[in-house]
Amino acid sequence: MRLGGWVLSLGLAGLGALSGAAATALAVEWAGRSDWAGPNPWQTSLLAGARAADPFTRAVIARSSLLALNRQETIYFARKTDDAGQPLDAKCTYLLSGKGLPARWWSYTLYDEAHFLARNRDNAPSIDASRVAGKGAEGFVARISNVPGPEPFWISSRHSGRFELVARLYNPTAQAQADPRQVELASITKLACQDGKPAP
Amino acid sequence: MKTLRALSVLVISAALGGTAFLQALPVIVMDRAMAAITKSAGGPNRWHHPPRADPMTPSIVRPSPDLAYSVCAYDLRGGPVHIHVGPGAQYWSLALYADNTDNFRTFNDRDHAAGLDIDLVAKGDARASSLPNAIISPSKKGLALVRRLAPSQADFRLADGARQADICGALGLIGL
Repeated sequence: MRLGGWVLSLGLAGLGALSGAAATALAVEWAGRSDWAGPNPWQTSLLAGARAADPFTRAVIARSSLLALNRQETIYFARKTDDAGQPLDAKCTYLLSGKGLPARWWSYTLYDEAHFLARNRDNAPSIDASRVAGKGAEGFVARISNVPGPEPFWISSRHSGRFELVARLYNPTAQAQADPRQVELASITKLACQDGKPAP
Repeated sequence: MKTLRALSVLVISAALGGTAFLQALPVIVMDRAMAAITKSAGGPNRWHHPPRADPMTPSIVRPSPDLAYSVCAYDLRGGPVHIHVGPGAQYWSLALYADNTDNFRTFNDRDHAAGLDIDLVAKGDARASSLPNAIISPSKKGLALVRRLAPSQADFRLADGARQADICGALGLIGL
């Protein structure tokens, strides 16, 4: 092969390697999202905390659920929409209605669009089993809004934009571990929305 | 013929590129995490006890505001590392992660109400047989992560007090 042929082959090899890496990165990103499964609209990662069996699974875990615990220890659920399928938005007020979850301890936590805690000083980023205990473990109602309301529990959405809610079940029951999609999680009902800016 | 050869080069190099990406991504992600934790702790084989999650100074995504975290980037190249997690009033767990992200062991208070002592030993290290609480790490580097339940400020103060007595250190140096 002449010099020109070698240069062409090297160029093709470089192009191929870059294309292969890029295509794999896209596949990992897509798998990281599609790994999340029902109960709709709550989604749980079936791979989080898993001891990966192959390089692809391991890459998906590194991208989407690094340092998560395995399902025997903790099950994580997330949702970004209300019961009507509309994106959760800090401009709106919601009611979170649920009951105690099948685990030793559980919580619901609000995160902003970038998956960080909402930047406010309201000291109300979550509710958990210990707060709810004795005050409606069989059935509780919490307000998700910029300001507290008449409900016994409040999660502040101030400065969270389009937010998400994450449920954690620590030491879930064997039944929940066997099929996380059967776990009965809280509903989120929209009460009202403000036109314009979020409440101060 | 030239076209066939060019196609072969493209396909083979794409497969190699994809494989290299899959191998590299977990290692790069964990390397970054371990480097950051080592820096925060002041070195490897030392606990870093972050303060309670503060929404105004975010550092990690999706932190639980109801947990007190402790993390140690362990390095077994100098020999086994001893880990002690003391008892707590509420739920706690110790999760061990290899340098490729695998969560290879997890312990919690339900099975270790009085606390836990283990000696992390690298795979292939003969000293494992002489250590009764040896846990084999598939890699020489990795992360140990403790989660202690602390939903309130008062709970966090208790958990913070308890975690100060936790140990992550080279086995030969413990007690010196």
